Amino acid sequence: MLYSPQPMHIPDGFLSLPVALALWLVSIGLIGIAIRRLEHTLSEREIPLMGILAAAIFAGQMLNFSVTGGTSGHLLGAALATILLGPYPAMLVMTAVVSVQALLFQDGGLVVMGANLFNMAIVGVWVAYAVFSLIRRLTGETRAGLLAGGFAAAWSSIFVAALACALELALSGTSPANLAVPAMGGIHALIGIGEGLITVGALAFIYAARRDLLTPAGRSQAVNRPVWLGGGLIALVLVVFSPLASSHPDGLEWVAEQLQFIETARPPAFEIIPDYLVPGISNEALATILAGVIGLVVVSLAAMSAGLARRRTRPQG
Amino acid sequence: MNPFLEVENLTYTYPDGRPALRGIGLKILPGERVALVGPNGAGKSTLLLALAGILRAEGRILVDGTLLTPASLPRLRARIGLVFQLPDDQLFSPTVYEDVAFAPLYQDLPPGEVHARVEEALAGVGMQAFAGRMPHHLSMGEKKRVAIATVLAMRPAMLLLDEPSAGLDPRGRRELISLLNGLPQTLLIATHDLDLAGRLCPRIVILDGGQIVADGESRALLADADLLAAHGLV
Amino acid sequence: MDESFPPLTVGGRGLYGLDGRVKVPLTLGLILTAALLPNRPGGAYLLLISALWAAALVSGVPLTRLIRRGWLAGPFGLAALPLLFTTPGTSLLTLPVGEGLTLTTAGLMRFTAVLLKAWISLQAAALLTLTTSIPAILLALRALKVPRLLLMVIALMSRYLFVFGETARQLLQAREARSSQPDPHRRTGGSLGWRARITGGMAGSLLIRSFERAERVYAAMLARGYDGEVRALPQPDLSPDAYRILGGGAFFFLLVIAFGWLTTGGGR
Repeated sequence: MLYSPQPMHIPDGFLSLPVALALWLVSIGLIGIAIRRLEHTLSEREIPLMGILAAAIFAGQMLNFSVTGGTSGHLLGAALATILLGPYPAMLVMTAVVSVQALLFQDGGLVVMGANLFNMAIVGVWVAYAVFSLIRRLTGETRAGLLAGGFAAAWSSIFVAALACALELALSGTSPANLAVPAMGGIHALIGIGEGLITVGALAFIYAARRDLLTPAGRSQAVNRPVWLGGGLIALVLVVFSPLASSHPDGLEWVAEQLQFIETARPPAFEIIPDYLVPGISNEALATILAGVIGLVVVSLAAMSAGLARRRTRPQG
Repeated sequence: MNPFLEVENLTYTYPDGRPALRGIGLKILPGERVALVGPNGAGKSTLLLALAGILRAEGRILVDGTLLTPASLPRLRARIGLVFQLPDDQLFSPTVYEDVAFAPLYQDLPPGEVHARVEEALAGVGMQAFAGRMPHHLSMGEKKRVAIATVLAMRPAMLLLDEPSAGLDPRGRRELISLLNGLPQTLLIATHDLDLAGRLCPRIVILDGGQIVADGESRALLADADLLAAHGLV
Repeated sequence: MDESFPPLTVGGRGLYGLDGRVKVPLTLGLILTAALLPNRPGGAYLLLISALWAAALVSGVPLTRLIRRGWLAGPFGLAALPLLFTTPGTSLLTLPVGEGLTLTTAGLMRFTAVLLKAWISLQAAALLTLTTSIPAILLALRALKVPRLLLMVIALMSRYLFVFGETARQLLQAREARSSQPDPHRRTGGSLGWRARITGGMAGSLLIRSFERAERVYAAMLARGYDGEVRALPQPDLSPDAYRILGGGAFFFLLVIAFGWLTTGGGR
């Protein structure tokens, strides 16, 4: 089976032990909560559904399409899983996918799996859920809203998960924040577009062939408001914090040092970094550019949803 | 002799409104072997699913004298074993052993008894050597046999088989026919394969458009070319 | 891919004959040991990789296969590249980039250490996969107290992975078979949006099939008495030998860690 490692799966050795262990604890805790909740609310038929959907998503990650030249777009699937099953089952699905990717295909490390689970099964799912819910709330149950929500959810899930990944690398001292955040963020802002497009294609196909699969009617998961706001909050925190961390690497390092995440004698090291990594453009500017991109996206999303909301007053076709 | 399976006025409509079964009436005696034939869309699979209690249809189904209701279903399930058309739908566990053990496990049998049932069922289909294998690694013929074993482990009195010879090569088909021939259970086999029907089953029921259009001796029905043609069987 | 997952065989050379419940913790232990070593390559690293390769050789696993899997970490190596320039220490050379990027010996050590750790860990995980069947890994996860619900999802996923993998491959082949370029001078392939939509359609097709398959599997489970509860057969006990191997492994790892820290003089 053709399988190539994905850019967001951190291998062993790249995160410091305290960061890796902390994220293991967080992930086990949150996934444990999801499991306990599901044990009470899951209907019988949803267990085989989760397992088999996980297999389809895993296989779906083999599907690619050429973006430009040699690069190709891939699917991660957190957004699709969330839209089709709801956030709690999607967490379990993505946990299964990430752990089997690590265990059987060496895509993602074992000691750092807590971090990968956090990025993809938790952040990826909840950000997708928050964005999707928000857009659907504004557009109602329209096809356009479904596709727009799907695209935004997919893009955000990839982008924000990448930011989390970058911060983890920075906290571990493996990559400086002012490099990791723009690099991971930039690359995944592009990869996210691919994810968004495939997600839209998949949703359109499902809408045409089996619309009933898209209604939450058959599902037992009701998520209350405070919970999905959590996803939005995660996204907001990461999106705001990352450019900050990026432009103030000393600050991040100071925090990390205080919490003793990295070794001693770090602050002087970052004075060795030149003021610019690309000749002519300063690091401050890179961070600003990143913030600008984020802002642009947020504004476009708002405009899109406002436009769609206005159309709601018209009868739906 | 009292019938083992009795069906009265069985009616089922799909959720989208299409009628699937219209007033089916059927009696099957213990030890009988009946072939259920009909064109695609006649409702053969639907009928089998209803008989196994997976689809809730209107009408009465009596299994060994007991009426099939939501209350009696858990108990009666073990008496009728349904073998699905696609073995991949039926073999969902990581190993053959675990798949065959699924049914006795869910009957709450003690581990020793579960093990005995697995051995017995695998022996019944000649697949004892395959206990540790992953279903993915089996050939179609092997999968079909294991699928039968997964159901035999319940010690059912009757087997419902949905297109058992579909997808098999001639040798696999021959082996399957000889396997089915050796089973003691009452059999109801839904199939397109008229040759298999003729070889295994003295009685044929023809289903078309959700209704039984013929029910009688195989030799006679299979010789009636007009009847077969009228219902898309040749 | 199939050759990577040997059928559950009883016995076999070296690691093949070892219970999955021993191999999984040992693999985790090895990776953890690598993570705990100081960030300067030294004798301890050598000990670790030698132990790994020895186990592989004893089991008949070709080392080349193992080493090839180790390179999967490659792309991520770029993420660690800055370490070359940001670690304080004696400078080796200065690159004329911007204000001058200084490569230090400590930086070189640190960078190499990170890559080595990744390389060793990947090979350990690869060795586990090559010598352990999926059912054995599932049993090991169960022994590690992974919640039953999650285990069932993972088990079902592993079972149908290859089925959907086949479907995905067929879809890709079908697409390829229809992707012709009769005139080499004309750009083909349609627009990006179109290509994405097609690929999305393929993904949608896979997802719909999974829903339909799940319905049928659910029916098959019901027909055999499924009641929503996750049940499993009791696990066979581990032999005393297995415990001894686990203990021995843990002891070895502790030795390697101690050795690593003592021989590098505590310099991080």
